[in-house]
Amino acid sequence: MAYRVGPPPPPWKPEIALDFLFSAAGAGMLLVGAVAFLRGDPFPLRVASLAAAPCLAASLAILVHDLGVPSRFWRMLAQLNPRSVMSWGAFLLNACFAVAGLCFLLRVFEVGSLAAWRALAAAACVVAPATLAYKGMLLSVTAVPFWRKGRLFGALLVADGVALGAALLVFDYVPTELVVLVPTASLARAFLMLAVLARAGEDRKVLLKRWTGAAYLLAFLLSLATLGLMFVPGPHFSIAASVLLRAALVRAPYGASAQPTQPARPEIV
Amino acid sequence: MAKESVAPTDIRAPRGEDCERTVGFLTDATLCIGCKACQVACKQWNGLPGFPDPDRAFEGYDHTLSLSARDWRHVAFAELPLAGGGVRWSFLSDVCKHCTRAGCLDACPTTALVRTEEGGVVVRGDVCNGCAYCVASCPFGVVGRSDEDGRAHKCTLCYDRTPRGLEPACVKACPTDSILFGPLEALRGEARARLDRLHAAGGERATLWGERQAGGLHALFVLDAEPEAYGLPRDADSPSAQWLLTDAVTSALACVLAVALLFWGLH
Repeated sequence: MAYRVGPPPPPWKPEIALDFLFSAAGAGMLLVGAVAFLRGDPFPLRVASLAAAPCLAASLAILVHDLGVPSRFWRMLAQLNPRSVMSWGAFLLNACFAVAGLCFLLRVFEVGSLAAWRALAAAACVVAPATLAYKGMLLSVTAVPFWRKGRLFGALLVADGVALGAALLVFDYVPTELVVLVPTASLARAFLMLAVLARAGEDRKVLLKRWTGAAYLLAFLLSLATLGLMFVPGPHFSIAASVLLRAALVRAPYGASAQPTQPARPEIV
Repeated sequence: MAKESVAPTDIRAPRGEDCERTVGFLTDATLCIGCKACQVACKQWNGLPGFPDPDRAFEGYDHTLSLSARDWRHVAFAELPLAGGGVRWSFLSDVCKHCTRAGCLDACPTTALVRTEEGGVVVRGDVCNGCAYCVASCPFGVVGRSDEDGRAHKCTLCYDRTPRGLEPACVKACPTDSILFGPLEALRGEARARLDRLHAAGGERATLWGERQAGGLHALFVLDAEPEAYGLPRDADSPSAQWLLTDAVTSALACVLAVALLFWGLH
């Protein structure tokens, strides 16, 4: 008989794919909102402040649920192992959640000075992309053959998280006929991670085995396409780009060309 | 093949007063008869559960198939093709390699995995929270997470026996001295001597595996075939040692680029 060479797939539950989705959505929204704020537009951060913290809380809850001994989650925060991506991730995800949580509280209670919001936005610009990147490194810095070959998982998930966050953040601006793109981008992200996780080993019992390859390819192409839309200028794409960034976030008056019924923006402070 | 002359008593286990020495295993596939006494002794000493599905015992000779949280020794039944057709068996008792650059040790976020003064790598069960990142980070597929208690488990190099002058349970039970335990340097010398004798006797395919993988392993193997036949990778290292720096740099550049592009795009 032929023996398996290398490790078995880690016994992570399929819900981990949702953790990847929620953390990307939360960190992505926080990052896009923070950058927009620092560039002089407070409205995206107001939306992100309400949405990012629940997403990151869901991500943390799934991670804790997936542990073999969930009551010992705190041990990851008791010390830092600089050689462990999981250790970095525990601190980064919690730091990102802390920033998002503060934004959430300031937003709900409508408190906080401009300096406080700027400080939070600056912090988000550091911890949010790092949170996105660690998820990719979590997979690539392993001995699992399929994952370790994905050397650029960190970079890919940063790009993908920004695209997803932007897509979700500008949901209110999306023309009706393009609303479907937002859940499509989210579903693509979920499929992407399901496929990546399912391909950890060639275990016949793994979910979605027969179509993981197709799901992975489709999700990857959709992620690239949504990311690409962010930076495509021109009148033809003025609507499409609004799905992600341009019409919603770029210049005044806020996507007016694509969104004539755009509501007035509330001030953040 | 004749039984090797070096008995476990010739390479004595470290005593309490000299347990600072680095110790390890030497496992010889040319001497193993596949009796699985090592597996049973390991389970018995460490109180590991038996086989979960008794029916599988009748599916083949190897019914544990791999190392796992409940199987810290695994006797591989490698089928090697013969020149004239047909196959022959070669047995190898696989075990945790207690690597010098241990992937599991690098990956553990709670520092539940520690290195002992003897050079072994053990899991502290009272610290492990069952994140299973060590499972994905061991290039040899040694570590497993238990379904019963949710924690990671693996060979301890019988840390509860050797400081008292006892051999590991698997070594004690091996009827052919296929498994030896002792100071690593002595084991290396013994392995090379065995290899020379095997080559001189016509065993051209015999190799020593474990000297260069992951910075040098604390479990050396004299093999009778390609390492892959027994489920051992030809080359392996700690994923953290191999890729952490390059992946961190790549990801950091991606982060900077993403933020810069957003700043450029949003104005």
